[in-house]
Amino acid sequence: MKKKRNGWCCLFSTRSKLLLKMKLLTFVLFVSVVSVTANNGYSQKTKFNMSMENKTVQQIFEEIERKSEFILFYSKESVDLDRKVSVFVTDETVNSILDQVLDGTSNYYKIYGRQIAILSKENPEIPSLPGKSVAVTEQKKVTGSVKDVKGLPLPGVTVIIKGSSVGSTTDFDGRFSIQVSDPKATLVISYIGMKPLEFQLDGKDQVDVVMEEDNFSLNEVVVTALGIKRQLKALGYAVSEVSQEEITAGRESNVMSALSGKVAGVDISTTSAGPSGSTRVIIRGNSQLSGSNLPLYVIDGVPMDNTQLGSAGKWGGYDFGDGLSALNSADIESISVLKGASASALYGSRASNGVVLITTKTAKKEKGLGVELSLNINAVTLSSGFNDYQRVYGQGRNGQLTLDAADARSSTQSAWGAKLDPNLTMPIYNGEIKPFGNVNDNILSFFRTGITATNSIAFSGGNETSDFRLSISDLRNTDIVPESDMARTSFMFKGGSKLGEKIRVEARANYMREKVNNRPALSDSPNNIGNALIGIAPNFDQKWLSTGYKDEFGRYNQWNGNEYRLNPYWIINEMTNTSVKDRVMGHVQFNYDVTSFLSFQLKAGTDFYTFRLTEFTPISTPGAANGTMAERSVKVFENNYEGLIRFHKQVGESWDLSAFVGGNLMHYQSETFSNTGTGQVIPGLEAITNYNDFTLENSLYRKKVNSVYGSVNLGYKDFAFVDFTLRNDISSTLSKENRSYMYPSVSGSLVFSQLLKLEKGALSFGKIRASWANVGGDTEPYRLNLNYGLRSFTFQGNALGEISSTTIPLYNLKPTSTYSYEIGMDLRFFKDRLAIDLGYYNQSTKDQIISLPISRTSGFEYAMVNAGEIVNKGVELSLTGIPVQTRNFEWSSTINLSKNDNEVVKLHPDAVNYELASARWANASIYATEGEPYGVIVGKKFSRTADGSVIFDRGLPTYDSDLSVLGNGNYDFIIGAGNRFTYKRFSLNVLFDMKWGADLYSMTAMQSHSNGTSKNTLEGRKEWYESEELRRSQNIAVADWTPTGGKIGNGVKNIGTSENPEYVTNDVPVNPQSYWASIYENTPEPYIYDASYVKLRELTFSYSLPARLFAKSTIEEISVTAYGRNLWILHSNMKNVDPESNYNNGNGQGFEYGSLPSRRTYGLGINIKF
Amino acid sequence: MIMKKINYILPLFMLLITFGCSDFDELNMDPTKSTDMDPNLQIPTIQMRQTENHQEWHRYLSYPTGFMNQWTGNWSTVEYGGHAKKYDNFMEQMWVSYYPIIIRDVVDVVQRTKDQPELVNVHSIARILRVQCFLKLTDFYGDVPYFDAGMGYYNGVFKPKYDKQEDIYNDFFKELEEACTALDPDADLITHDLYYNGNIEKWKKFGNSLRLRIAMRLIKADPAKARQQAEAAIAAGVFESNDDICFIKHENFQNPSEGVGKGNGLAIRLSNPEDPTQNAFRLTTELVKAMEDSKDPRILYYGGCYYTDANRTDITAQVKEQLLLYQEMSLPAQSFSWDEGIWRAPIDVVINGATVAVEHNYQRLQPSKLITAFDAPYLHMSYAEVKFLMAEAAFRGWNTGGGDANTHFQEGLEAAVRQWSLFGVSEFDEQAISDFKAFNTLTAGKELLQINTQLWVLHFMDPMETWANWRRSGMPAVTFYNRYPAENQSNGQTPRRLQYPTEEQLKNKANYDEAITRMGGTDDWLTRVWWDKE
Repeated sequence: MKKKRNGWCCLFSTRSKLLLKMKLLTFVLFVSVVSVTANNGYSQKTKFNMSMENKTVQQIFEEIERKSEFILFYSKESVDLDRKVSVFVTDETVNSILDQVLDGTSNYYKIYGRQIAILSKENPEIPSLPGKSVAVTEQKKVTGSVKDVKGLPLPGVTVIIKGSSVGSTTDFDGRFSIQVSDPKATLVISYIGMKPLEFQLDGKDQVDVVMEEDNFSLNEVVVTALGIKRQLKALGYAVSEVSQEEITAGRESNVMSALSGKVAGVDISTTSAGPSGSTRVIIRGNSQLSGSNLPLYVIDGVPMDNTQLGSAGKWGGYDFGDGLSALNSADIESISVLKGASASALYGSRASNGVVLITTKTAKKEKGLGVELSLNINAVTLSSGFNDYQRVYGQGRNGQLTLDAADARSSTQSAWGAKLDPNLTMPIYNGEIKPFGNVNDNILSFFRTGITATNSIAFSGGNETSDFRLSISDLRNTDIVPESDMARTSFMFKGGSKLGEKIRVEARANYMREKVNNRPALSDSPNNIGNALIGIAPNFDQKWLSTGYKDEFGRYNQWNGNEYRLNPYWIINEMTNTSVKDRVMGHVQFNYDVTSFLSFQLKAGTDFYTFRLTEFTPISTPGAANGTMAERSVKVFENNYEGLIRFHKQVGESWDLSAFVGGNLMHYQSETFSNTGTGQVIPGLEAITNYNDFTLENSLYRKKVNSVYGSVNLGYKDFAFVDFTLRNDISSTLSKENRSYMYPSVSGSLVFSQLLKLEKGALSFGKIRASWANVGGDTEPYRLNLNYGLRSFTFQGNALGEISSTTIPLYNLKPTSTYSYEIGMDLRFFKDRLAIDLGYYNQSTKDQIISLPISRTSGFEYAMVNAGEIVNKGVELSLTGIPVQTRNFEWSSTINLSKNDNEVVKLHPDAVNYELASARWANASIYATEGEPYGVIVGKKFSRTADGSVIFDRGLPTYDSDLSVLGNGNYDFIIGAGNRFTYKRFSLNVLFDMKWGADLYSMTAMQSHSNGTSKNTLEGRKEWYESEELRRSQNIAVADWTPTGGKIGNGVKNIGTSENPEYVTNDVPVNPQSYWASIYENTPEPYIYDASYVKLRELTFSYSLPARLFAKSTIEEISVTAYGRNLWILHSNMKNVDPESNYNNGNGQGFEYGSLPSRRTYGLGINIKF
Repeated sequence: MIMKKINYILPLFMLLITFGCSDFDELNMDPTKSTDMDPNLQIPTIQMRQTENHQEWHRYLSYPTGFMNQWTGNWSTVEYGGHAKKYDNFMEQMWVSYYPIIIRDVVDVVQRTKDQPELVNVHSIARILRVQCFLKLTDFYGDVPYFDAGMGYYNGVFKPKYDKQEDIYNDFFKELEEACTALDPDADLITHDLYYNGNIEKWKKFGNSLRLRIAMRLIKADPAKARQQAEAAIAAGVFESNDDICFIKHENFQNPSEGVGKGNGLAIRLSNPEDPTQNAFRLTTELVKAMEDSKDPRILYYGGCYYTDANRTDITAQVKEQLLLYQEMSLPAQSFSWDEGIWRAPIDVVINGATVAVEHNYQRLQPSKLITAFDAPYLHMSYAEVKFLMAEAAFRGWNTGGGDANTHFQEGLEAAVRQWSLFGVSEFDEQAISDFKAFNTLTAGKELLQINTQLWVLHFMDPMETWANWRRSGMPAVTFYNRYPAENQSNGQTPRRLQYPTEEQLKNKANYDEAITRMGGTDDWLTRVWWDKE
């Protein structure tokens, strides 16, 4: 122990030099320097606002105890309790209060966790219980140690001899010694946050105890808007905080994906793009028609740009990921989700969809240099994919074997051929002759097992005035799609220092570099591998595509007669796309405590990134026969400057008043340059200068918002709280007349358990809350005027001018308004063994700024209007319980449940529908439709009789000419259920994720029907082929032949007139191929599935090694974790695809379109702390 | 002390906030865009937008081409046009590629220049272009939004009403007459013009020629007006030689398959650029036979047999040697090469000394290398068409300012051959031209058939005009074979218009319904447009 202390003493004396050396990154050398962690977190996290004038020391001590979990120990003899002092602090730790109180006396203090000993220089060792005098009869010395369940020493634990006032506390190593007079005495061992223990000495003089955590935590503090930490009980709205442990458990590469199922009211989904893709986070439903429904992300008080750089749309594309992927989850201390408008009213318009506040780690005030090392590796395998297909008929058309390569080229993705027979052979697209038997896994064998390795190391250190933390993290991933990989490296530095008593400065800098090679293309991109592979006939092994995809000159070989579905081996081997993202985020903050009740804060934050994409398409690629290359660079920054004046004062005995006013300047700019070269000059040279022709594009978005805001918080006797906020924004995107707008919020909470003094009973805590808010919103830049511009290329030397707006501008756009209210309660029973948080919200977004789709005959696709109202109301329930708790075993369980009802109440006098997305070839769109939930899937239905039978005409189904609502793309009921089991040093986490109520149009299913691979397509084939055989043998033309059998659709046909129909059962056989083609061309109806699912989302098993194993080394802690994500789909109605297979994260959800198989992850991680 | 500090801080705050707002108006103007651009710059865009799109060409080629038996073999041409199967995606392409793009700009130019006498030429040219574009729309769909169309920015009308085709046609005549009269060689200079490089006289001739075409449409619906307008157009001065042809020369550029570019969209589509050796388009037996029977020297300009080697070696002559007739080297209309009864035994030809077997579908004429060059010109209106229309007018006894029907017809035949110089044909077989003319003098009783058959052959690269002229004249007889009656959705007949986009039901329902009611209650493709009387 001594040795260790020497270690940190030594380090501290040279700290200032060390700071300089940080730049030199010589920390690694210090890994060997030993350190010890003191658990002083609570005292640093707990901030006080106190203004007490001319009060006795005792009154102040009592006030400290009343406002916090601290317990003060002192001896009346050595502390002058009646001395009058004045204390004024705002957002300060207990240290500064005690410093003020004890200034000039012979007393000093020591903080051990939640316990504070007031000591006197005369009698330094043993403090006693409050108000009791020290009475020590020296008889016997008992020593001991106190540890927690993980084996970590607990410093500052109170040890008292039962029935006496004699007591002691444990030191840094959790050791204590105490003098007892009775060898059979009982020791009462207590520590706030832990369950108290009693220990009978029975003559022993050595006591070793283990304390278990007690969840009872009345004064939980959460981070709220503008980074202000507040007591949870004082909030009138719902805030959910997610801890570091929950974020890192499954080692997700995107921080937000890790939150799936962990926060009530938050719907998280991903695309089928995999680890380089983005995450869609919807808090309390969709409320915006145009523009983003995603929340605002704020990191350490600085908003970040989470715009997606690109996503797949109707015509295809890539998912280029989002801003959040820049963050290393190991650097995150906690995430607070502010769900309602009142929670976020202070952040302005961007926050009307909720706010996700991310707090990064700060070095604990620990002694010495702490080092934390985390090593993880996982394997990514396929969890669902293209395997549930018919295995009866093979490649071809009309039941016949393909005869030559030319014919084979146009039928590779058609399984309407002859019956499979391994004794037969057939020519394939490249002229090779192959057997005509079934090939199992003929599609899935294309994919490989992906590997992700994530390693990080963090160094931290600090003393009373300064602290720093530096982390480096590296992620390497190879995807399940061959040739697709990514590397992400991030650095974070955060440090702070006190300059004198009243000033603190803090700075943070993140740098991230991400490089992705060959991102998988999605949706209708010709290079979407999913689309290329689905529909290949069961006799056709995808491996056959790997040879002969190009000819002897290296030119593309046709394989399927469809230029929109390229050979996947050409895609992965010949085409490339590479992107590099460099991102810098950071802030500098300056705090100045003007007086004890007034403080001032200035903050400048930036988020800056560049993105560079190179896409190469070689010569002879279908659609780009001469070869193309595209270079795109994007440069985005958002700077925020904020000033805040905070005031806090205790008014009389019962009232607590705090308030602040602030202002913010936001400046956003995004510039895109892209250059596409067409016609490669020197074959093979992949350089943008090596092209004949160029298409140039440049866009520049600029926006500024200046804001002033303020808040008043009133607290009465610590159980009743009211908050008011007001914000005024001035946005550059609106006209002079409309650009300034103001909006208020009010919220309140009542801790009735405290008011009614109920804590002693079963109900340990009870609170009700209510809030109302209004949030205004602006729009995108440049929406007020009609713009003209030049096209991206010239033609015959002519510049090509045109109106560049596809939307009719509206000069007079007004800001949008979101009104919301919520009520809720927070109940905890049996000392927090059971906690229930229940909330109801109602949010209405009016006067939306919409680019309304209008008749194209107006000359424009859209018109800017202020219109529409969308209402989201719902219930959120969060249940936390500890059903079993014994000395060694604990089972804790959390269930998050949310139900959102969404209605598009009004759209526009000129429109009852608003298209959110549409899928090419799907005959389906996603609409916001008046009176329906947001995001319904619409398309034409089968024509039906009044009793619901499908009407057939000449054997084929008939279809309505009007569009109908066929499904809803958004989940309305979400449950996340997490269970944690701990036994001694083992812990097991199981998280289930369940979603109900959404539908999904499956392009994969549609393809499997039109291509003849679905099992449903077997019906009628045999009969039809026999009929055709007969016809051919009699040499009769198709038009003159009556088929003897085939697919007979289930429904009726009309044998009357169209005016007076008479329906009888349909009995007309048709070619099954024509039957399914007809459906494919006309209705999406059969391919819309209920996308509800139940998944085993996360399973982690960890073990923390006993400290004794490395007691002699410098290692403090080693834990090993085995984890898995998306391990098991317990329930799903969809075949061949995962219900979570959207191709983008836009507003129109509900399309699956040639997905990649979904990914399942198994991994292993080791964490080591030095 | 404290108040003093606040006194500093607060004003500083407010200063920052207000200071930051001063440049907001400018900040909200897109620095990469203009709010007042020279309308001249929009002219080439309006002109080339009509022929630059790979996708859209493909789609509206599906129906008119399939209906008119000029091309076959390609999937969508046969499956949808050839078999008359409805597909909304294809039917709406004309609409969605014109209204919000081309119509938007052409209406904008007309609006922005209408009260500016100093821009009379740009204004008049825009009016002619506007008629050119709307003619396609109304001939395709019938009643369409016209007077309010493209005016969303100017009049705030998001739901334009559907105008009667008769009213639209009447306005065409008025617009063309006024525009051609107003065009003034001494007024403003046309600085950007892909059709005539600013030549005002040629623009006048184009406007009048277009008026002649439009007039001839009314032969069934309003013969008197047809005559009056045709005579007026001819009197005002129509095309006088192949130098007056209205065309765009494209650039040698392969437009991306998902978009637009400098290449000729139709040529690119016909060339199957992803793999020209796999091109499925074939000339129909009907077309080739008509040409061969009339000693047409253009067959090899239209098509050729190309082998599957990388050079696509021209084997037309060798195939012809064995099959003897060009019509044997074609594919029956509305057929796929894999259809029953199409297959034929391979024939051997010699390429570079090696004997190769040519499969049946390579024995049939593919689109020629002339018409599939990415930089092939696109002809909007030819002198030959004007001459054929004048031949018909003369035949009907109208005043064509001199020249009888046969003279016009003969001039048309010659012009129709010689216009291939625009595609790069440098030498013409003069004997073949005179034989062609001599063989095709107008024969009593067959004049209209001969004239309109020639228009059918002439327009083979402008399927929409082919279809319109066929509906107008009923000639030549174009058979709808109805090869797959089970899937046919036209009652076994050639459709006579295309259906409106379904999205109009949502975005413009009242006006859409009104138009449907005028048509007799259903939006069907057998309904005839106004000028297409029974």
